[in-house]
Amino acid sequence: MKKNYIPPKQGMFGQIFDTILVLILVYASLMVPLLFKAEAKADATAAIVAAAVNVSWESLGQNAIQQEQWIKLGYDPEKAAVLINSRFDYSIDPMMLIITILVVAGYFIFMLKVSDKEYREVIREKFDNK
Amino acid sequence: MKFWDILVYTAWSISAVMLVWMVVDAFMISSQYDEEYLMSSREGGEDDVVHGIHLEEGKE
Amino acid sequence: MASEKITSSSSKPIAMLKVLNPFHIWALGVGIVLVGEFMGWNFTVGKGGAYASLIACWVIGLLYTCVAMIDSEVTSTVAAAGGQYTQAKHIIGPLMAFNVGLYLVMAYTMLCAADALVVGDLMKSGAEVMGYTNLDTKPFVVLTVAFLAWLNYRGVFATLTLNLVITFLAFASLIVLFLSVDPLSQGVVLQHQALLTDLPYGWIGVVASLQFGMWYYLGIEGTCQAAEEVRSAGRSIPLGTMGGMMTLLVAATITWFVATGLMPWQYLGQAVTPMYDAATLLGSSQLQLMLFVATAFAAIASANGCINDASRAWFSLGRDRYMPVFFGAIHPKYRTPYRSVLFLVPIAISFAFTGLLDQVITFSILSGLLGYTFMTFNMIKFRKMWPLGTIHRGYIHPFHPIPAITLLTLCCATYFATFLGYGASLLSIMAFYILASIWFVLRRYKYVKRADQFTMPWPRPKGY
Repeated sequence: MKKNYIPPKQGMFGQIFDTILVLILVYASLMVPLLFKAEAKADATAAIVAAAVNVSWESLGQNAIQQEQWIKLGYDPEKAAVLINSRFDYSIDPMMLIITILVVAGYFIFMLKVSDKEYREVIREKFDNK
Repeated sequence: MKFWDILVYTAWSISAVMLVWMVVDAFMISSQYDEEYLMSSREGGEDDVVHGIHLEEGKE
Repeated sequence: MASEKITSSSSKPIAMLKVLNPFHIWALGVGIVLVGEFMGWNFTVGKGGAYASLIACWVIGLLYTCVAMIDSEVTSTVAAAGGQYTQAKHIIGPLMAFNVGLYLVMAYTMLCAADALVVGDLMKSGAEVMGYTNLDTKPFVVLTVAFLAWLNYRGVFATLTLNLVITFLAFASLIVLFLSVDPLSQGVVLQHQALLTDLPYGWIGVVASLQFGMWYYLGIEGTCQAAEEVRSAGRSIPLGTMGGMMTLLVAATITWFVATGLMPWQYLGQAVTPMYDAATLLGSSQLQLMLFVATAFAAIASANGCINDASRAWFSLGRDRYMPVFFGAIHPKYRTPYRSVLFLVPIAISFAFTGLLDQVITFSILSGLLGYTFMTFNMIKFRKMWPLGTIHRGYIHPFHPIPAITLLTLCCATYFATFLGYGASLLSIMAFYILASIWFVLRRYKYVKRADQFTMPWPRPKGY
């Protein structure tokens, strides 16, 4: 029979350090995507705004009732054109898709493997060493 | 104009009062009670009906 | 000094108060989510058009019905404050549990920050209507978080009773709005024939819209965080959760119907407060005022529930030493996890002040999604390790394993939807959870007592 594992006590400094470390990780992961996105977004918006001169409701393909609602919302054709012409780009980069799938699947497989190992230890202590 | 300025100050001060009250209370509790006691809660209270049933069935 | 301190006199451990009933559970679940019907759901329209939004509403409704069924069974059996975290600890293992705990804390804290921002923005637009521009939103964001934290600190009963009242009023306002647009006569107020267009991006847009479709329901699974504070958890939690799910399905469909009958999809897809805009379009100042108040109530109820849930999850992590044990304390008078409540206040405020609202929302949604993915293998292992009849289950969900498989399929589709348009955020958030996991394995797990993690009075699991 193996002896039960006795964990060390963590001091106050260690507790504070661990808490701050997790927080830094969170803020970092919030900020990182901005580095990629900010430029691309600014360029796209500028292009759409530039294209939105001399447009009419007809050229934007809006029917009579749609026009009426746009006007009630306080939009003229040029302002509305910015919203109407900005579209998502759904073209798929296969390389990025594969990387993403591998990351998500790898994360879960890694986690289940490690968890299972740790779980067996918990069960052994709980039910074998009373 | 004035109304909104007062509202902003009021909001700041009420928030500050509540936050300070909580911090002070937390310190008071730490000085009045033993850490061991504050940490003594256990997962799944012992007088829980659901757990009572678990215990009986576990013995079967 | 130390000898004067009050210790556990009768050797009875401290515990949270069991004071809640199924209505509180309903209020906790629906309260967190309902703000999603007032804002946020409409980004589905932007990602795929109006019809895509309706499809997303129902498909994601199916996803959440699976979540509610699975969760009700496991929670009615594992009734503890950590909710899904405690489930993971008993069924999958420590590392998974640590991750699930983090999903919960992150999803709810970020959502709380977003809600507080909404209250601030509403105050600003309210001031503009009354002729004062450039109102500073910051004091109202801080006040929202501080007031709700204070309420949470002082006791769970008052907190969730407040939620019950304001959630009910916000839901009632959606019904009033629905009745006031004369829903049966098309073309008078509602203009669906003229406003609904074909799918602007085709079917890929429908898949893409699944991501924000989660806004219609995100947070309903938080009901099980209240397990240690509810009377007869095995009955109340399934009841409150399923009731909440039905409320939300009705609310989501009504919301879609009214909004798409009034606004062109290109506007709706980017609107910040679509339901308030809908009331404005109807030209009635009473409706406008009602929706203004209801939106504020929904946001406050949501932030309130989020503080409640995030603090319970953080508290449970501390109690098991997954996080510093300091946070595992309970207030001797109010019986709340007061240190966790207090700790999350500056964090929620700082998230709100970063100004990265869409980043924060994506983090929240993805953390939720990772949690639902976990539920699928959690359920399958749960039935395998303790087959029916070996332990008492408060509720047994039908058709196993179909809900689990459906849930996994829909989760995969939603990851793909997030990849479309938010791929960089997806990878960066995964990087966070991977780094946190490595840190847990290498540094944190050594402080955890092994056998103490398993607290349920169950027999040894099959196969272990």
